Amino acid sequence: MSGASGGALSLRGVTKDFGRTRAVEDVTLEIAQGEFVSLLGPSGSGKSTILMAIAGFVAPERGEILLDGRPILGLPPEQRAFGVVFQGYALFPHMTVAGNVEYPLKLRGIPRAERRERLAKALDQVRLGPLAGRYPRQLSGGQQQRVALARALVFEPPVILLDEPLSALDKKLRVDLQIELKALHERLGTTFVNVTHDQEEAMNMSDRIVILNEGRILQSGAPEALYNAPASRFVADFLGRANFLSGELSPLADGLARLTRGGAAVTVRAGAGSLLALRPERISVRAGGAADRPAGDGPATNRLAGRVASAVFNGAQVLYRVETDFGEILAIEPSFRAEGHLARGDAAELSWPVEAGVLLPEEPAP
Amino acid sequence: MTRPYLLFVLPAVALVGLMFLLPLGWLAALSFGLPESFGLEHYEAIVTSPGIRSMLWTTLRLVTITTLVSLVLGYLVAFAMAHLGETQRLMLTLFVLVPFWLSVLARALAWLILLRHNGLLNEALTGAGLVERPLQLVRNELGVIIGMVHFLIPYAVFPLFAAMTTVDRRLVMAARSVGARPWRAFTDVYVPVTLPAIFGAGVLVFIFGLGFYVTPAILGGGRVVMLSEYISVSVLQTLRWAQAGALSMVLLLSVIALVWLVARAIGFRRLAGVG
Ligand SMILES: Nc1ncnc2c1ncn2[C@@H]1O[C@H](COP(=O)(O)OP(=O)(O)OP(=O)(O)O)[C@@H](O)[C@H]1O
Ligand SMILES: [Mg+2]
Repeated sequence: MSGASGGALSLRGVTKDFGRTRAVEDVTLEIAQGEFVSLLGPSGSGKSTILMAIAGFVAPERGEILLDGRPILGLPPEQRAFGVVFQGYALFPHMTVAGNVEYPLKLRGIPRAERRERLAKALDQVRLGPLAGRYPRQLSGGQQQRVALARALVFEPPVILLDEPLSALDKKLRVDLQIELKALHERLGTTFVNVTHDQEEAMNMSDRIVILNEGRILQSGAPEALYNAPASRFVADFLGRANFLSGELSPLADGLARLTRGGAAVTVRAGAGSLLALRPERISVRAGGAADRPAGDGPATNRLAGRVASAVFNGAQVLYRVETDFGEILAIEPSFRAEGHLARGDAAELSWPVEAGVLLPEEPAP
Repeated sequence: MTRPYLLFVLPAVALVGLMFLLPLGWLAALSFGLPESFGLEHYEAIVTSPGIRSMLWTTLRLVTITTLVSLVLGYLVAFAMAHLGETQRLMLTLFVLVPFWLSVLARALAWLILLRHNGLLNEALTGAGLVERPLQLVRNELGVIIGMVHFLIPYAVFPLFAAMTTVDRRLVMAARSVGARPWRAFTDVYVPVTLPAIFGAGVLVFIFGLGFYVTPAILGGGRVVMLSEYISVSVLQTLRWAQAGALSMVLLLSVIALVWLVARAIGFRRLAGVG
């Protein structure tokens, strides 16, 4: 089972309306052979619609979809024959696990002996061998998910499409299956297109994440690049958590600028706008008012005085909400480093390296 | 707590007891030849008498054919209702329901007018030169089947429709995505998934069909005698009450057995349409 036989997808200007609602607007996306791409966005952002358009169940009003350079919009779903894992799995309730996974092979008229062999291999790949004789209703959620996956990959499709494959499972199982799915992808080398609204899942598994909102692509890129260099407030907010600081911007030398609000000022790297996005885990918190500043941190570090509004210990981390001139700022400290936890009402000093912040265009909060 | 409420149930219990269970028990007693004697000869007659046997055979055959035809047509109508647009669904529901509200007598007579020798259909067919002589459409088994199917289709449509609206659309999509053409997806996935409902609807129609009286009496024109008409004639004309009682008991027990069978197979709540 190798994906060497193609599997590169191109979406060009794909647009889909349902009555008056525009579900997908002008989506253009290149997916390379063997890539693991996640479409990430809030509910109703058009993720499933895009996936179903690729699978052949939704006909776009405009645009083109190509597989290895050949247009496929004219083909019915059964001729595109991508492996699809549906939201809720859609296992055939009247067939056993083996029956479900064998069905695509039966449709192709593959002889019995070969069918048996490929069935066993597919079940092996998702570690379902012992459950072959069970019916879907006798399986746990995670097992059902694996059956759906085996049914989608047994006929060696060039592309596997997954619609929220893990959303119905509990958190721990979800993380286990993310790792499994990723490993399977690496073994098969098949192109995977995954739809999710879980940013953690997208970051754990994907080579590339495509962020969608209201039917449009906002930004796409490798998980790290997106996380560290979001291009908009929506992306910064949706992928992980972020503080947004706004104020008066005045230029400094060396591509730096100063953001001022009330009596406080911080240094930022000049960017596309005047809204400073700052990841909470980049901010350190220590008791304020103390004069024992460690030597050696120069102008490359910002300092901001404030007062602790709340401190929450959640095991690995301590979450501080600190009231400052820039408004309330969330800071996350690893709990082992949070020296003598600060409590509500304590004076605090926040600090972060200048390069930790990104300037974004101002836009209304989502 | 519950005691005062038991009093409210009493009138209903009394009514059912007096008006239903008592006569039923009396009927059962009659069927054994009571009070004059006690014996099973009337039950024996059901197996041995050629007249009764042929009547039972006719009943079974007609009801079976009616059930199958009603299921096929009902499945199509229910499918259209479940998967076409909102307007078509309303139209179809109306078409199915309006005859449902008419009295069974009016419907049988309407079919008679439509299908008889010089009825509307035959006039049209001969007038258009499509057939030379009028077709024999009523006063035979065909007429009975047409009338019964027409009456029973709603009983097939509604359970089927209810089941179809709960079928997950993604099942058929999943079949297509792995390579099934639409027809294959329909026969491999859609039909099996709705099979319990087909079974339930079939038994429902069959049970109603067994007890049919007015439709066969009118559209059969006295030539096609089914169970209910036979019982009625036994009671009202030939005065063989004991034989009628025995047949009634057999009918009752078969229906109970059928309901029990289905209740076991698909669950009673689903059969009654409440779950
Ligand atoms: N069959 C349909 N008929 C009408 N509107 C639809 C249909 N399918 C989707 N929509 C609309 O299109 C938009 C995008 O829907 P889509 O299912 O693609 O969202 P999604 O990103 O998958 O959301 P979720 O995370 O909730 O699954 C929504 O506004 C939705 O209401
Ligand atoms: Mg969706």
